[in-house]
Amino acid sequence: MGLLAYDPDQLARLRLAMRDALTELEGTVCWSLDAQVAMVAVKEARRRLAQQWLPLVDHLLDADPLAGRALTALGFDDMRNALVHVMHHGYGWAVQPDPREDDPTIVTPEEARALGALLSQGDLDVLLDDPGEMEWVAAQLERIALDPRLTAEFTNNCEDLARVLNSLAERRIALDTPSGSGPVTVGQIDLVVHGLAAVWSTHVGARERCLDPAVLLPQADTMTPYAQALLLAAMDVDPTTFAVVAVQILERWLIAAGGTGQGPSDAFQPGPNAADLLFARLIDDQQAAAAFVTLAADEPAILFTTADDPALAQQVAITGTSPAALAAAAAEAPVTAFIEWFQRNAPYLNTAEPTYPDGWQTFLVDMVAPWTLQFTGLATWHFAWTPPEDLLAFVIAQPGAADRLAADAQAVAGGAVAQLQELDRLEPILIATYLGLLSQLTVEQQVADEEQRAARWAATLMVVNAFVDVVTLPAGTATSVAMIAGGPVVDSVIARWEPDPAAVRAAAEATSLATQTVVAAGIADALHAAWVQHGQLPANVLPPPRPNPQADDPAADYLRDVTTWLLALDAAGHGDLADQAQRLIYLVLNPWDGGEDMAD
Amino acid sequence: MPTADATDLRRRATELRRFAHTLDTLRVHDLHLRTGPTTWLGPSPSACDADVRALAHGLSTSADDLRRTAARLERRAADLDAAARAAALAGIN
Repeated sequence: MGLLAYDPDQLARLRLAMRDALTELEGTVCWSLDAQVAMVAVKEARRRLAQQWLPLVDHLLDADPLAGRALTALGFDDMRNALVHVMHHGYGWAVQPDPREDDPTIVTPEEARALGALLSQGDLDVLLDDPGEMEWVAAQLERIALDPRLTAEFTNNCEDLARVLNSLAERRIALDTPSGSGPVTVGQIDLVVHGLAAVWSTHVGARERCLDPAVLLPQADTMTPYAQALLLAAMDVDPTTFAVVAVQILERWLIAAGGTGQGPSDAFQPGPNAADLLFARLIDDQQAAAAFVTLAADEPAILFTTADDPALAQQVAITGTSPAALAAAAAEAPVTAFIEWFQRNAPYLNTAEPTYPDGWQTFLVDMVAPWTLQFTGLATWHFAWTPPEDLLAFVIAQPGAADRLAADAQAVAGGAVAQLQELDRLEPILIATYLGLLSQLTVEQQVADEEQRAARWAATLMVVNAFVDVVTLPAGTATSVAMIAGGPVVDSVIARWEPDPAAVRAAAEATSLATQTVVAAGIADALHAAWVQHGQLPANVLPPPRPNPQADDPAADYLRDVTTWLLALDAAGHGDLADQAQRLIYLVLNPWDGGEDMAD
Repeated sequence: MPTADATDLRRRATELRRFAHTLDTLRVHDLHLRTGPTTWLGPSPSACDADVRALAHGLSTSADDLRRTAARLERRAADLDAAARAAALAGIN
C-alpha cells in the first residue's frame, strides 16, 4: 500500500471547496431536452465528488495522522515513499495510507524532486538492503532521465551526488569479491548507477555534444575514483571524452594508491577496481580504446599497474593498438611506449609483491604481431627512443614469445599486407628482408620439439602466402610474391624440408636454412618468370637453378648454383637482371657467412 | 413579424445559452486550484487532481455543445422568419 501526505489546513479548505461545488452542482438543472446531454456531465461530476473524492477527504481529515511505528511499518523510510517522507519531515505534513496503488510509470516533478533530496540526504543503507527498492529507484531514474524537466528537478535537489555514488561504490566493492554477499547484488547496484548515469547524461547534455571532461563528472574532488569509474562506464559519451576522463580518473587513482594517505579502498580489496571497470568498457569500444592507449603512451603505468586483472589492461592495449583501431602512424607511440615500459620494468614484474602475473610476455607478442613490418626497413615508424631491433629482440626473447608469434601468424600476415598496401614504393630487398626477419623470429628461436618447429614453419609460410597478389616486386614488373609462395620450387622444397614430428632431427639450423633456401629459390623463380613475361628474357633461356633437398648441405649447394646462374646471366648480356636478382637473393641467403644469417 | 415557431426556437436557444453560462461558471472549475501538490501528494491525490480537471473539462465541452445547439436553433428561427416574409410579400403582389 502506498502512502499519502497532506497539509491538513489546505485539505480542510479543499473539503469546503468540494462541498460548495457539490451543493452548486446539486442545484444545477436544466429541463430542456436540448440540454440533457450536458446534464449527464453535471450528474457525473456530482456523483464523483459525492461518492469518491469528498469521502476520501473526509476520511483523511477525520482520521488521526500516522506517526512513529505505524509509519515505519508502512514503509515510510522506503525510497518508494520518498515524496511522502520529504513532505512529512520537511514540511510537517500528515500521512495516511493511500487506498490507491502508485503507478510507477508516472513520475511527477514532485516525486523527482523528493527522490533527489532523499538520495542525497537519506539513509542509504536502508536503500542498499532492499533489492526491490533498488530496482524501483533504478526504474524511476531511467524515467526521470527521459524528461529534462524531471531531470532538473532531480539534480537540483540531489545536492550530494558524490555521497550517493560513493555509497553505491563502497557496497559494490565489498560485494564484488569472492566472499562478497548481501541482500542486494552487484547487478542491482549497477542498475541504480546506470539510472544515475542516465540522469546525469541528460543533465549535462552528454549525448548531444562533446563535453569538457571537467564538467562530465560531478564533484570530482569528493567522489572516489571507483565511483567515478562506475559512473563514467555507465554514461553514454563519445569515445574520445571517455578516454580522456578515464585517464584522469586513473591518474587520481594512481596518486591516491601511491600516496601516504588512506588510498582508494578498491586498491586494497580483492576483485575489480576502478581500472577494471574502465578497461572492461574500453575493450568493447575500439575507438575509445584507441584514444585511451594514445594517451596512455605518455604514462603506461596507468594502463599496466592499475587493474586488478592485468589481462584486461593487456586486452585494452591490443584492442587500442590494433590496425583496425589505429593507423600505422598513430600506433607507433603506444606500441613502442608499452614495449619500452615492460623493458624497463621487466626485472620487477615477477618479483615484486604483489606478483605481477605472467602473461605479459605473450601479450607483447600479440600487440606487436600486426606491426612486425614496422620493425624492418619497410617501417614508416621513427623509433625516437629505442632502436627497433632492440624492442623486437626484447619481445621475442621472452619465454613462449616465438611460439606465440607463430600462433599469431594470421595477425602478422594481415597487418603486414595492409601496411604494404599503404606504402608508395616497395623495394624488393626490403620485402625479402621482412620475410627473412620473420623466419628468424619464428624458426630460429629455440624449439623444444619437432611439433613446435612444424608450427613455426607453417606460420612463416602462412605469412609468405599472405603476400600473394599484394606485393609488386621490382620496379615495373608484375612479379608478385604469389609466385614465390606458390611456385613449383617451393612445393618441392617444402615437401622435403617440412619438419616431420615423427622423425625428430637434431640439426638446429636445418629448418631455418630450409626457409631461407625456399624463399631465395622462390624469388629467383619469380624474377625469371617476370623477365620472360615482360620480354626481357626469352622463355626457357637461363632458368634459375632448383635447390636439391637431398644434398648434404642444400643451402650451400643452392648458393653455389645460383651464383653460377647469375654469372651466366651476366655473360649473356643481362647484367642488369643479374644485379637485380643478386641483390635480392643474397639478402635472403647470405653467401658471406655460409647462408646462415638473414639480412636484417 | 416573427412566427410563433421562430419565437419558440429563440426561447430554447436563450435557455441553452443561459445554461451554458451556468456550466462555465460552476465552482467545480476552481477545484483544481486546491487538488494539486500544495494540498496533498500520493496516488489518490494525483488521481483526484486528474479527475477534477477532467470533470471540469467535460462541463466546458458540454457548455460549448450547448452554445452550438443554440446557434443552430437561432439560424432555423431566422430561416422561418425569412420564409414568412417572402410569403407575405408574394401575397401582396
